[in-house]
Amino acid sequence: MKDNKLNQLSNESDVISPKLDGKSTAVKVGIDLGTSRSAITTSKGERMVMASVVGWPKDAISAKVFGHRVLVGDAVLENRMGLQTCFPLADGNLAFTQNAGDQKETLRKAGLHLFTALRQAAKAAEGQSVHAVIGAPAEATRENKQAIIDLAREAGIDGVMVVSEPFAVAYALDALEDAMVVDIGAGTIDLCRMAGSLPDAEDQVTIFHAGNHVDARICELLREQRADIQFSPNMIKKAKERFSSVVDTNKRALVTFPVNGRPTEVDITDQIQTAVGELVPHIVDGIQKLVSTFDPEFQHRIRSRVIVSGGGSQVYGLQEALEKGLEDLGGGRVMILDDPVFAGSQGALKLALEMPAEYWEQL
Amino acid sequence: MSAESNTSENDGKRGQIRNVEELRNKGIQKVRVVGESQLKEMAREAAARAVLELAEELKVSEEDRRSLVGRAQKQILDGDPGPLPQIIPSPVSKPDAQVAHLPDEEQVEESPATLGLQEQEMLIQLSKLISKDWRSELATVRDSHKSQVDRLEMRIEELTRALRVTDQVLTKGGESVVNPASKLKPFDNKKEELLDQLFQANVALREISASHGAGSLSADSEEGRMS
Ligand SMILES: Nc1ncnc2c1ncn2[C@@H]1O[C@H](COP(=O)(O)OP(=O)(O)OP(=O)(O)O)[C@@H](O)[C@H]1O
Ligand SMILES: [Mg+2]
Repeated sequence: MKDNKLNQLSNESDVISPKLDGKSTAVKVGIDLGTSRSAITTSKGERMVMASVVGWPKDAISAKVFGHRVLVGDAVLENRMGLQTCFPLADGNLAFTQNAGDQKETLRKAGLHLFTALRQAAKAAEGQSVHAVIGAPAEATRENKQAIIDLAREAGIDGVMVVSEPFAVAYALDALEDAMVVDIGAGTIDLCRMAGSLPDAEDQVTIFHAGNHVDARICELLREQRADIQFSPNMIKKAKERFSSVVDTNKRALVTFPVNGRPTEVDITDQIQTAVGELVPHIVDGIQKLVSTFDPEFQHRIRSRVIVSGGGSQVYGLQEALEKGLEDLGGGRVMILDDPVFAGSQGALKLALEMPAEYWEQL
Repeated sequence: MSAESNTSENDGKRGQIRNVEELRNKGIQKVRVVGESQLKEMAREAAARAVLELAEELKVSEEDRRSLVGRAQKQILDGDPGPLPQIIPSPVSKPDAQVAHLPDEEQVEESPATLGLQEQEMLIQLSKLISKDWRSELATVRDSHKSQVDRLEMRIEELTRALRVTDQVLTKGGESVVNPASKLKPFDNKKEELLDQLFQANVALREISASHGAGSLSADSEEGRMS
């Protein structure tokens, strides 16, 4: 959108320096760049979450409705029918880095639009710079981290640092040692053990079996067991978010689906519980991997402070299920975050604010 | 609180689940099951709050009060990594007459509304016990500041022990969950180091020229694709 202007902007503020100490007045933001949704928290006290999706009119008729605009966020999902939609992130990473040709460019542009929307959400004043700490998946490749930095800068974010997403969550809670963070997202589950220093590759595990897989699994089970009902992945995702549970409850997941074109209430409790329940052993495995490769003397400490964040942490009964799974490993204590949507962006903001000003100047 | 399907080894636990379900059936959509560990932390928090409120009533210097509260919280929260309750520099000195209706109900209301009924009940009992105990204790030690402080310290120790017992009772099988290592050492130096490491990592990231080769991750989800 404003490609070249951006570099100029940051240079100009150095030269003209209209606000005198323009650097210290930069808006600081923390961004949790997620596969299904991205959250931003700013030093001005703003917080916002948007679906990580970009859309533009499908055809001439839709263009009349939407204009020749590019939409970002939940509005895209609401107007899905008239829009060409594009999710710029896959499995936690910017998808364009894994694609080629036309599609690569479309995905890259979509990513740029997402960052531009996030930049706008920072509500920086005219000429005011934005410094962002951006959470990426624990096992993001170097290329991906660089791609995040490049796109964010192209979208007008002046200073960018990338940090592992679960580390940001740990930082938000001051859980810098003797702890483990499990971030259950849509594309990935990211685990990270905290041992007092910046976590490196050995301290982190990424599991590519997360919310999206659960959705796909529910669809699969339904197709197998209820071939008569019609549904879209989005309907399934919504139903899952409403009824997900890994324990038995009296509450049945009664969802209305078209059956032969007629709206019919269907009980999909078992399918949801099965699919969601399949996450638990994956998570326990991941925890075990990080515990068993840790200094034996301190293993019990990280086990006794497992912090769960991300949208998937909202599964009913998950804490008990995980603690039960940990019993075989000698037991553990699991804590579910109250604010899983913003925990990552809040930690990233905290990092941005506590990062010495001279560091920001060098970036 | 464990509620694995069809494996109700413990009827009491099933009972708690039903309570939560009752709420659900009343139309409350979001119900969080609170586990033992969270409950234990809440118990600690309740105790810490009780200390704060009671310390406010002491007629000692601000410095003494702070140090006392600091030590009390250190002990109570020992092994608990969670955030410390704020040490409020006593805003208005409360007349003794108000002591009578100090904390109980307030305390309960402050604990998250998402608690199960039985957990709430336990917390209510616990905070009542704590505040009742402390108040009668206070009445007998008002004679001199010195002894007041001494006795309070003793009570804090007792309270800490009581909390540990609560911890153990709450823990299935009674295995010890008390982490003896204090988690309250200041993080400031560590944080500086961490921030420095993070900065250096980002500088390095920038210095390596980007070679946007194809990654090896599978993208079999809906995301990252066009529709
Ligand atoms: N109540 C719920 N029960 C189960 N899953 C839920 C619930 N609420 C949200 N989710 C799922 O959580 C996922 C979104 O979580 P989150 O926003 O943390 O992911 P993300 O950050 O976009 O993804 P990632 O971290 O993988 O990039 C989705 O799969 C969503 O369906
Ligand atoms: Mg995420």
